[in-house]
Amino acid sequence: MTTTPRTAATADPARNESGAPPTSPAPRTGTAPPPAGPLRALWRRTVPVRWLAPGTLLIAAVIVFPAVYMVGMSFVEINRIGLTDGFAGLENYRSLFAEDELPGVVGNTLLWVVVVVGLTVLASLALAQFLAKDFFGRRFVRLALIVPWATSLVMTATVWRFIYEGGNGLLNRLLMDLRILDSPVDWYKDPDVAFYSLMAVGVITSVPFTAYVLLSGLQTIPGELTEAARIDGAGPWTTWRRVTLPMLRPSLTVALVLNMLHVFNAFALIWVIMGKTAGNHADTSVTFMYKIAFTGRLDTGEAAALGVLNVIAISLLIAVLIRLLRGRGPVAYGTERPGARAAEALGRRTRHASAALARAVRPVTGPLAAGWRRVRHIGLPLAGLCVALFFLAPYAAMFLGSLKTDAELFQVPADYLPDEWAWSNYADVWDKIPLASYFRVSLVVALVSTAVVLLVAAPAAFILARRDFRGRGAFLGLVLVSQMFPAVALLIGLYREAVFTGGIHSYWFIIAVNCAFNVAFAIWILHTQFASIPPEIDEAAMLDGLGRFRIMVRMALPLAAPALITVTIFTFIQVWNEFVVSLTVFNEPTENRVPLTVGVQQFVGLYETNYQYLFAASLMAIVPAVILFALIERYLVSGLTKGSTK
Amino acid sequence: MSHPVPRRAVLRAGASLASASAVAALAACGRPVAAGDPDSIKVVIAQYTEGTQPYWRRLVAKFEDRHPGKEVKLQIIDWGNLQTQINTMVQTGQLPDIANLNLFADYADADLLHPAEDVLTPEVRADFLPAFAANASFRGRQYALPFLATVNGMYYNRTILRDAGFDGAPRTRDQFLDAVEAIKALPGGLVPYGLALGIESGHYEFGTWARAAGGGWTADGRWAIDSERNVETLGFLQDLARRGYTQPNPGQTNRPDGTWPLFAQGRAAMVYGAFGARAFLDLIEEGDVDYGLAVHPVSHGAEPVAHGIQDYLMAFRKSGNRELVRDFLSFFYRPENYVPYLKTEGLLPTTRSAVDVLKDDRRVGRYVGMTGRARFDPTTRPVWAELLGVMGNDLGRAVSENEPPAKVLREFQAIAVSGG
Repeated sequence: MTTTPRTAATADPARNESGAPPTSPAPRTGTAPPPAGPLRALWRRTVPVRWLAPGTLLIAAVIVFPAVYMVGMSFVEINRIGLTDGFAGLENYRSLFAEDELPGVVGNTLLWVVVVVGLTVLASLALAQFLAKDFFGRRFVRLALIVPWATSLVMTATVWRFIYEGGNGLLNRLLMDLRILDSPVDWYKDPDVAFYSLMAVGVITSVPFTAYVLLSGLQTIPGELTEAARIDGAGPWTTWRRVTLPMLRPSLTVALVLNMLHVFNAFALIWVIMGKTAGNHADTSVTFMYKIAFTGRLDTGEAAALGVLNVIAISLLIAVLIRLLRGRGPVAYGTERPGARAAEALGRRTRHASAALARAVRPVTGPLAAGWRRVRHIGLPLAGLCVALFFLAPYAAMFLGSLKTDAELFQVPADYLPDEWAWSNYADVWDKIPLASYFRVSLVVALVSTAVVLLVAAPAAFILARRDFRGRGAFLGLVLVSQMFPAVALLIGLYREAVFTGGIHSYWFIIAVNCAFNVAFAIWILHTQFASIPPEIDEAAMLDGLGRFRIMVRMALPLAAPALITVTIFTFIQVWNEFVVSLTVFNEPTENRVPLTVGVQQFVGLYETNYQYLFAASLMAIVPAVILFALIERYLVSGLTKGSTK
Repeated sequence: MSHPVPRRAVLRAGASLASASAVAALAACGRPVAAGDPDSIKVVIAQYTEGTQPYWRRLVAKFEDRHPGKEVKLQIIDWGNLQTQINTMVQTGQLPDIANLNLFADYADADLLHPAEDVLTPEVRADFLPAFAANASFRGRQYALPFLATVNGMYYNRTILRDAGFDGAPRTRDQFLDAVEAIKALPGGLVPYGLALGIESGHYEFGTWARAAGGGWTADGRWAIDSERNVETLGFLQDLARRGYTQPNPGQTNRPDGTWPLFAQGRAAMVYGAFGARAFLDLIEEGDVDYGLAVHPVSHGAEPVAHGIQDYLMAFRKSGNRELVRDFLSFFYRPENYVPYLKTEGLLPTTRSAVDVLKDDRRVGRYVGMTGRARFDPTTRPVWAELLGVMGNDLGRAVSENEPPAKVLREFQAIAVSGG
């Protein structure tokens, strides 16, 4: 508990007290003329309600029932096959606390969240900064980054397990060829290193999305600001700390909060790599919950109890995080926070210290910087290439694996290249399973869900950014809380809901579920971006006679293009890769209603896994997401914001 | 929870919520009997190999062809998700009509299953090998239908053992210890025994070694998991791992992607495996290993036995579904349909008629006769479902973390006894 705020604080721009950035979430500028009558007043007062209604309804309709159901289950005694044996009181909680493994699992969970989120955000900050620069091949690097993001986590985890193998593992082969290792390491099997191997995958898979959130935040910072700072004589580091980082705070908050949620609730990643190994050394509370419910004790009541505690824990973590990250904008003005003066003094001290440090290292950094300027045009593309190759490497392994035979896949030591390139795997896979149908189904679900999410989220985010009203906090809270339930914990409730509404195996239900789970993210990202658009633009437009809706469509949305793109990509990819819920409520082969992620599981047999087909299908599944991204990527490139705020 | 709501009100709300969901769950589940459809049944089958889906699709098409107006909805689920999915169906009252699993007793205990005599013709019922039928019975009544079987024991690499000075497999534990020591001394870093104590097969491996030492899961019809012989066996396995007679991290190793490839590449001298299982044999034949089969080496004068594992079909009790279920099952168990399925999956039969057809088969002929004499795990006891999962997780841990065997096994025994 205590370690998390510390990590947050290291990345916390609030420590830098250099004035509030102009990104207050809710400027209270009196914009409209006085109301003409009581009806009109009512109409105006209910603006937020009306604009928020679709999102609220969606979340409430889909997520509230299974959430409540989960809480209910935690008080019910449920037998091994899921039948209810009556009210259990607090018995489930009691038996949970009696588990010997619980303390270790709690420790693991904290370590997992702190390390993965911390490293992810640090790495992503650097990467976003890098990708914001203009250099040859930038587009390629951005495309490379989309690949790990676009690949279903189940697949990525599978390929990492494959890379992490002992004697026949590719990582061992590489490290031994480089003379870094003498003998193979059992990366995911050795209990001493397994959890760290897992964390590495956790960071690598979280970085792309985080980097994009931060990148889209960077795009909103007007170039004039950093330029002005430079003219004032600030060095690049000072400019970054004093101008860029504070301006980035909304995006950073989003990145941290969403990472926290995703990492805390990470299931597929850990399960695919570690699920079949014995012991609890790599269990977080979510995988432990799954074990209690489905593989070990078979006690869904006790698992639900852990699910409830999970949600409480993550809510507290997020609340603390948000409190720590909250800026000193209008939200806090007028009331001096306790300790603010001390913080101010501390801030002054660190500023002095860093200035002194900068002076001290200038003799070294000066020539370095000069040297860098000379090699910059080569150095940047070269660094970009390294980054791209790093993120593409696992998928290269996947690609090569898709062309190998069974025997080659288990060969010791592993071969980099296949002996015979079995290209026919790519043709055969279409006959082995109805792959074309899976693609069609997944595409329909993902496209419709993405469209609905954008339609529902944009107005909600806009009104949240532009109006301060009672219930604003409550709404944002609801939105966040909807993300706190691990899907695994909601499964049974969702299934029951599907049965109750007649939505089993029907498109509308799976689309509704996907939308409800993703609309929160969309609202959060969009609302921070809208908030960073100066409200003067609205006022000007309003004077020109535009209504609120048209302001949003014509002015705000184009300005928020980077965030819209992030949201589109994110939602599409999330839905495209969703597995657990589809497996349960949208899986009807006789009606050709099987999404891709569920369909390819057929290559995972009891005694044999057909890696080559699994990998071939997975690689082809990445293509639509990469194409989508390539089509809209250029809108992410800076210039949009600058262009219109001039 | 920060609202000043009186604590009792919270509790009352919790209680009513809980009882509401309890009532809902009860109403939706199979007691009283769920509604079935006489013209349409849902069949859930586990994914064994890539041949599973094509086989069942063809079978269903053929069946529907011969039974106009009837429909069979097929769902193939991989093993990793199978039990979860079936339990979700049970929990939400969406029972399948037929399901395939490696367990059945809990469902029989909850009165969710048709007894075998209600959904099988007398001919089909009489066709099951008696050992399998007995191992599919709960409280004296057969509820599950033997589906596929394996006989398991030790594969050994003749070449390696010969190099180590042994003619054939070790028969006693003492011989085994001599052999592993000699093999470890050979050049080439060979693995004397590939030990798979991961979740997939840890309990199989341990149970096999325990029986070979005169122990086992039960004794005289009572749970005996923490018996002296079993404690000794777990200590023996820990010792094997500690002394480097196994591959590294046996607690985290499974058979299909762990010990089997090691053996198939000629790098492990002995492993536990399923006799005649196509998935394993394909690997071995590709690696061109000269192998022999044996039962695990015994100690304390125990009788050598192979380990039998069978998977089941269950017919869920729904009103009006009996006839169509019976027709479909009779159709499936006909040798002309069942035998091709056995060949598809590369596993062994549970019926006499299929044994007759397969007894001259090149690959499995030598094993089909063994199935009836193998020793089974106590899958007929409901608590076995829980034990399986707990043991899968904890046996491997006990070896990798060197926990005291007696303590670990006492915990299993406690679960077993409390579950009846």
